Amino acid sequence: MIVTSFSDLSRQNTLAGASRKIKSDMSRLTEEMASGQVQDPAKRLRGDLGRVKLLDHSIARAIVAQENLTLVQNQFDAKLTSVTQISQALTDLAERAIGPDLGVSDARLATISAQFGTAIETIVGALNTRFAGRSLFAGTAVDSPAVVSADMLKSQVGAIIPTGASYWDANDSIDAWFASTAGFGSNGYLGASADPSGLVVVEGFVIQDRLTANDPALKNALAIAVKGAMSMQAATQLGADQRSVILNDMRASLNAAIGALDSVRVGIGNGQARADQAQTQIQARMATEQAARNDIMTADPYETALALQDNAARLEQLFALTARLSRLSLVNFI
Amino acid sequence: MSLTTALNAAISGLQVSARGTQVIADNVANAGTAGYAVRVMTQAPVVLGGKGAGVAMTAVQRQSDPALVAALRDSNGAAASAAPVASFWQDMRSALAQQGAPDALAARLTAFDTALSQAAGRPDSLAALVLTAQTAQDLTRAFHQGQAQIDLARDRADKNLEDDVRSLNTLLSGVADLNRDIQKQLLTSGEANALLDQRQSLIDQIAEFLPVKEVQREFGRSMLLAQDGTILVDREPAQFDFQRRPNPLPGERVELGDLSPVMLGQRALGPNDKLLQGGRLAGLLEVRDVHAPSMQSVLDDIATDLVARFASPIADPTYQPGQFGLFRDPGSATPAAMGPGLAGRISVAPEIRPDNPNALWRLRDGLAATQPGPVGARLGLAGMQAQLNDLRAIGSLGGVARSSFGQMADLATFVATQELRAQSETSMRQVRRDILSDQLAAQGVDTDAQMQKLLLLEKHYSANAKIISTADAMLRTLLEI
Repeated sequence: MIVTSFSDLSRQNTLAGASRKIKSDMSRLTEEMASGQVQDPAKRLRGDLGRVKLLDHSIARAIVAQENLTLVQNQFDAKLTSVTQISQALTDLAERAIGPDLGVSDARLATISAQFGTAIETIVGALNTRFAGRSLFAGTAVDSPAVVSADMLKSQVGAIIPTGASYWDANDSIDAWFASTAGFGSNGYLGASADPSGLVVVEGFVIQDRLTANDPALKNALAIAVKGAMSMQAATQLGADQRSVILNDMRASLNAAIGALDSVRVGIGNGQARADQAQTQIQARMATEQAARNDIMTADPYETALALQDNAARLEQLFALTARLSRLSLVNFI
Repeated sequence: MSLTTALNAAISGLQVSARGTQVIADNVANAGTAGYAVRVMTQAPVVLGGKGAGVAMTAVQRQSDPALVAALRDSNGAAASAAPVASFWQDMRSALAQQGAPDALAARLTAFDTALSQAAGRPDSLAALVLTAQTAQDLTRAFHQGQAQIDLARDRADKNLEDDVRSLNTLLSGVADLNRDIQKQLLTSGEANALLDQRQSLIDQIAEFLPVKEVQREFGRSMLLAQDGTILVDREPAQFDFQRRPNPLPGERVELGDLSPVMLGQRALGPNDKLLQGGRLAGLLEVRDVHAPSMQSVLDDIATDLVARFASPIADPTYQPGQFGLFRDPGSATPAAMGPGLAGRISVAPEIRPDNPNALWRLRDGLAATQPGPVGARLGLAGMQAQLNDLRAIGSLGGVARSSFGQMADLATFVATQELRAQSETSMRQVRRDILSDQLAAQGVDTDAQMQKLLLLEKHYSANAKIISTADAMLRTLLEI
């Protein structure tokens, strides 16, 4: 209320005070209108600023968790592709190299050996796959290839097969080398152990990925290919019946290895599903938290605009009143 | 009545009108002066030998309401006492908990935590490790910023106390001097309104430093009493004393004798002393000796907790008991020996620097590791994250077990709540002061009323002049006979 019967100073103070209050409100409303955010969230929350801080933190964490999850999902995809390649290589060997009944001549054995040799390269290539610069099957040694090159592998295995060894002896030597830590563990596998802790995506939600080239199924697939490539020469010393037995054994081993690789793929698929589940959970939680944050921080544009207009009208009225009161002084009539 | 008597009466009328005009002119000139009390001239008829002989001015009175003036002084003091506290908490919120500010403590911890998450997702990424080291340093800087704000607030309060005590002594001496001048003026001319205005202004200023009661004594002398009855000014002024201690250290307290209280003779006055309560001095002492140390304690406790979280084999696979982890106090040999002011000293292990990428593998493998482990190992990084999420209680924040981030959120709530409380107290006191101020201002100069009086005086002046002119004409007629 404007008091007109009091002293000049009182009137001046009242008008100045009203003008200051309106201008301060307008400044706050203009800022809220421009930014879409309340100017003083602490006041709106009656001091409980921790609520919005916790939401901000949780949202920031969720964004990073999503980035990490995307990387994990991509790695799972790439790993699945690699294991599928290995599985396909073994399937090709079982179906095309050994499957057809084309006899057991020396020439055929040489062809089979060559096809297994090609499979070694395929499997080594798949195991040394890198995604975004990181080696996928080397455990925590992501900067190193998972296994030695196919030539190196063949050379190392060649060195442990005694000269003139029979097919069966050569196979036993190769199996022993792959099973030994001093053999494949030290000289074939170049990676490190898998990370034991797993990736904590959000609190209480850990995604494990412990699949390395040292995994028994993958190692076995490689061992079969090596055996097929390097022992087959010794099989030329055997008779036709034994050659058939060898090929049947080989087929059975390949089928068992393909089955084991299927289990590995199922394991990767489970990891993918878990990552998808985490992604969905994070997205849902983030949406809820974002909505809660908006409730706290957002200034309603309609209400703000209305209040701004109301303030502008009040300021105009105050200016008109100030001018009129100033003209109404007795001084002007003397 | 003779013509001469009539002439004298008219002349006295002219003189009174002229004096009245002077009073009005003075009032109108001070229409915009805050605290100016309107002057009203009083007049009375002059009687000589039982007959009227004109008019005389009896006094020029100051129209002042002593009760209202005293209430306004009290409310000014109350507002002045709340302002330093509100300003302290506002500064603390700006430094530590401003919503949306990237350098707020909570925002820095979020940045560090998310950098750790990124690094745990890609432990081989140099960029992620550099970011982790950078955000760890930024986090310590946010603590330093909070500490600097506390130090600044304490130093500023100490400096203001020194200035205020000096001003207070000057003002008290000024009141004592004016008491003497007013006494002399009243005895010689009978009027000392200008000096009374000046003294009221000085007492108003004193009341901002500490609440005072004014008691009127003989010959216009004012005696000033403090709230507890201590005499501040009677004939001689009391003398306050204060020893400035520039840049007080975090552990320095008035109770330990490191800082000076406000002294009145041999009496040490603290913020809760009745003599000071409700004035600016109490507000400043409260900031320096109560609020800033309380904030210091909270900030130090959070910093201590952060150091302890990382001094663990979970966060550092090479950790040895009694050693520091990623965060440390360069001023202490072990975490157990850390003292007050840690918030100003907390730093990151010297080998972990964003500009030293060759050593950042230690974030993964442990600060004391002798050689780098596999680049994809996230054990150390995941351990640090786990330690940040571990629930721990801090006594000064209510003793509820929380993650490090929960503690930062509690800190933000603590600071914002204190600020709002202080703001609300200040606003309440300011509103009361404004109301009283408006009431006092309402008793000030109303130029319309002064103009009305001026019209009357003008009329009286013209009438008296007419009488003089008529008497003169009559005398001239007599002389022409």
